[in-house]
Amino acid sequence: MVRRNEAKMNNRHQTKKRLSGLLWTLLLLTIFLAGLLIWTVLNIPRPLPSLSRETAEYLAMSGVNNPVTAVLLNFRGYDTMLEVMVFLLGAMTVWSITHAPFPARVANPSPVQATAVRLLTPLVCLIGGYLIWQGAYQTGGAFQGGAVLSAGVVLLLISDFIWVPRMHSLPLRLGMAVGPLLFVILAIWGVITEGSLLKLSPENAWAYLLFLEAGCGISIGLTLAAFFAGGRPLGDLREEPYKADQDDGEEG
Amino acid sequence: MTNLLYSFTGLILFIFGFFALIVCAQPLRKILGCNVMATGIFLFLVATSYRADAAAIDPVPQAMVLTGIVVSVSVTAVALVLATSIRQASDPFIARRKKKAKGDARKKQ
Repeated sequence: MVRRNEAKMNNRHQTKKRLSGLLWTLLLLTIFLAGLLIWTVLNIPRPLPSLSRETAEYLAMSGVNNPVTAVLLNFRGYDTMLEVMVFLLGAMTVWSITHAPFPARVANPSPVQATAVRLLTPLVCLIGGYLIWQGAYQTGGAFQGGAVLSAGVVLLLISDFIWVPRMHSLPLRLGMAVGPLLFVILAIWGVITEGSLLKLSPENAWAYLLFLEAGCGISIGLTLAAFFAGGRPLGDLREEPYKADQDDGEEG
Repeated sequence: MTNLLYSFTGLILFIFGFFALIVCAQPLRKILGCNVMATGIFLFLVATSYRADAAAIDPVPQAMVLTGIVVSVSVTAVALVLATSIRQASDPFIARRKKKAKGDARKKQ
């Protein structure tokens, strides 16, 4: 009976769907909503109000040369701080649900795959670091560089190396926390030196922002890879690193 | 004119994602519908930062889109892990196989 249920679940995509009356009503309502939104977009009063003049005016005080990076990290730095916290909160939620589902028997990677990963990982670190650094001058910055770094870590995760599930989890946890921690330290430093949260003095802002971007880039890379792994690392901080015959103790 | 084209594309993507979110029964398709909605909104926001003179683009919507992309990645990851754990908890086949594996491991000790 289990096999028949499984067969029915596997064939569900092959059954034909008939559009019922409810679905037609929903379709018509959605088309009406689309028409309403299109009419709204057509009637937006142009020219749109813009902040480009003010951004260009204060760009020299922000410590970077790119207007998008200046808005993201300096002028609207509070939003970015909350966004980095939301990122960490998402990782905590994913970790609280399940262990990372590594396969029970880890196979050795083929020589081609191992060589490719060994060649690509330093390149990924280099390109990610360059993207983080060049955010001050062109498009780039912590998020773009962090995404490239996370691609490198995901490459390590999917390449079936034996030592990856057995790594100690403390460097991973410290790396994930360094971005939000640097933001909070910078915010408090702004209160201490200038009197207001996240206020950076114009002559030192470039140094603060470079430091902040480096930390956030590392933490974004590790957190994105933790999202990909899909659960908390197998070695807990209280116990020893994961051994092959250790049992979860829970389902899922 | 190209500005309107990008805005409408973002809007159409939003409508597609909205429809898929309501109509599809499987959780993975709902999560993908949310993602498509978010992508449509990001395209619309970036299209509003266009100005006729190329020297003076508006950087604020682009920064908001960066923040939005990061938040949507977090939400997608949490939703996917939740959907996986719901499926594993409610599927009798997977639960039976997991119980057998746990029983084998305990018998081996």
